Amino acid sequence: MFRRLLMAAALAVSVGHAQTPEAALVAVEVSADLQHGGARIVLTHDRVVSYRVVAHPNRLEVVYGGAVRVSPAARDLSHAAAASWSFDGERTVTVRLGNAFAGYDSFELKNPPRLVLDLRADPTKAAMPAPAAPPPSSPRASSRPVVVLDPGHGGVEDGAVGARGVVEKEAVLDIAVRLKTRLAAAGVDAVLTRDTDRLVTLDERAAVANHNRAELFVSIHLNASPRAQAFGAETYFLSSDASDDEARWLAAEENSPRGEVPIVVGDARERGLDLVLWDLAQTQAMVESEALAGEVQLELNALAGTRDRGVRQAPFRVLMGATMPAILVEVGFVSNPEEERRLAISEYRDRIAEALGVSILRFLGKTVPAQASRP
Amino acid sequence: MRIRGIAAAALALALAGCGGGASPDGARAPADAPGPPRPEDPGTAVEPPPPSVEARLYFPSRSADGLVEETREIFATTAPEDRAKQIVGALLEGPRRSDAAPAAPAGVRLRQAYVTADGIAYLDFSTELRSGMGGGSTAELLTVYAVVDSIALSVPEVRRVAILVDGAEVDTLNGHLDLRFPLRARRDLVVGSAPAGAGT
Repeated sequence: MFRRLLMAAALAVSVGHAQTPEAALVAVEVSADLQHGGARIVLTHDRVVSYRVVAHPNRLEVVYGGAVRVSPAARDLSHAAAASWSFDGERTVTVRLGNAFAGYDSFELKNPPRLVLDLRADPTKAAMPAPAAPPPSSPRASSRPVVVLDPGHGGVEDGAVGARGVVEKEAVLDIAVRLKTRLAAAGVDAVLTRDTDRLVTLDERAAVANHNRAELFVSIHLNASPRAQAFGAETYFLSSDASDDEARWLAAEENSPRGEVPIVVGDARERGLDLVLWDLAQTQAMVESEALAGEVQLELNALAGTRDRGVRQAPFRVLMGATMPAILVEVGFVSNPEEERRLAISEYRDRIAEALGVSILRFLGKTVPAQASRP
Repeated sequence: MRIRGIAAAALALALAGCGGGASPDGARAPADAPGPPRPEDPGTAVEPPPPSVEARLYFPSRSADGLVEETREIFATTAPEDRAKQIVGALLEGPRRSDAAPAAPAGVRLRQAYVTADGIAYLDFSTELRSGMGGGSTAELLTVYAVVDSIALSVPEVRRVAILVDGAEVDTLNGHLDLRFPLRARRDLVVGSAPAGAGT
């Protein structure tokens, strides 16, 4: 019902626009923030507008659904990641890529509605002349799959704390770093949502995965219960209660890059299609999440000897906004004396990292049979 | 309405305080003040028996594997929030079966309850629901669904349950479950049904 309301509202808006001619051209203001590692180009819209971002070998195009006004209409950036932008006078803003361009993220922000393009520069190429080979057409510089690992809590948030002093935020970061090393050795890049003891919001964590176009999002936690006898590992994926809600769609809309996938906002028919496609993609992601969760539980049991509390579903806040298969692993209870003792031992953390690594790699092997087949 | 709700909750508490084996018949005593004189012989009672209804309560199992069920008699009041308050009151009192654990941290109070026409129960708890929650997701999950299942499975007017703390919406209780949206009951979390009294 909520969706129908949204669509009705969007329809009303577009009808309103149709009645007001030229003066109602969407105004787009472009600004750039040039930093050492990359360039951020922000296109601020005076209202919600439909567009898509198209990646070409040497340029990105932002193609609007209708005619727009752009100011300034062009600018030379002379940056390693972005050379310039220009407006074709009708509906396309073209960003020419710099000679050290190494990939980009795009995402939407609200109030005011704006599109953010983050273009990354490869520092090793930054000083060199333009490469002879065409830059990668994929937004991701490397063809290695990316997995985002999310050590739970951090900063002022300790998470669960055991009687012997094992602190969740420290233990899960340690496990995540060990896992990252293992994955790197196997040709998989792992991005951590935090690599120090700092607090990262739950929205930011999923956003890191979305912006890196991760194949997987794996949140790592330690469990606790007021009952000391509870022990073992369990792996969660989102419950259908959450996914059949608009909650997840809205959460992802807040923090997703869509890249070459059209971002459709404001047009009723296309928005409806967007939701259908979203639902299909989410259903698939749920199936894959469950499969991954199953692998993780098996391996934790086999390699780390952890009691299998099973694959479970719950509306975990941190998984809500993720647009890829996403799981949350509770590797053990610090509230159980024996399990806390094991969690304090370095070799045991290694075994957990190994179990997670094996299951992630096996999962990627299934879904990413050949790197070449990835777009 | 609010006053009536509080009165009903207070009655329920008073009742429960009378002893563990409160039967539906026990609910007769504290009837509304302005009533007809009560006949001596219960067998020939003219007044209708005070309506009561069985509510299913869900508590975390001691092993923290899921929820176990107990039943309680509550007043079959017309307003769904009255019944919700009685159920939460009984939930916060704690379980009777030996394989069950408390549903919420110590000191938690229900501040207010509302049920909207479209079947969403808003339950506003005191701040201890967050501050007293341990670090683990299992504790959070079982507390949240002990409340959600007890209300959504015992109050027919309720389809979803939203949990508020100190009068405000919360993201999560302790960094895990998304409480920004009302939740549906999760029967799959129930690992022990109610053979009242005899534990599993």
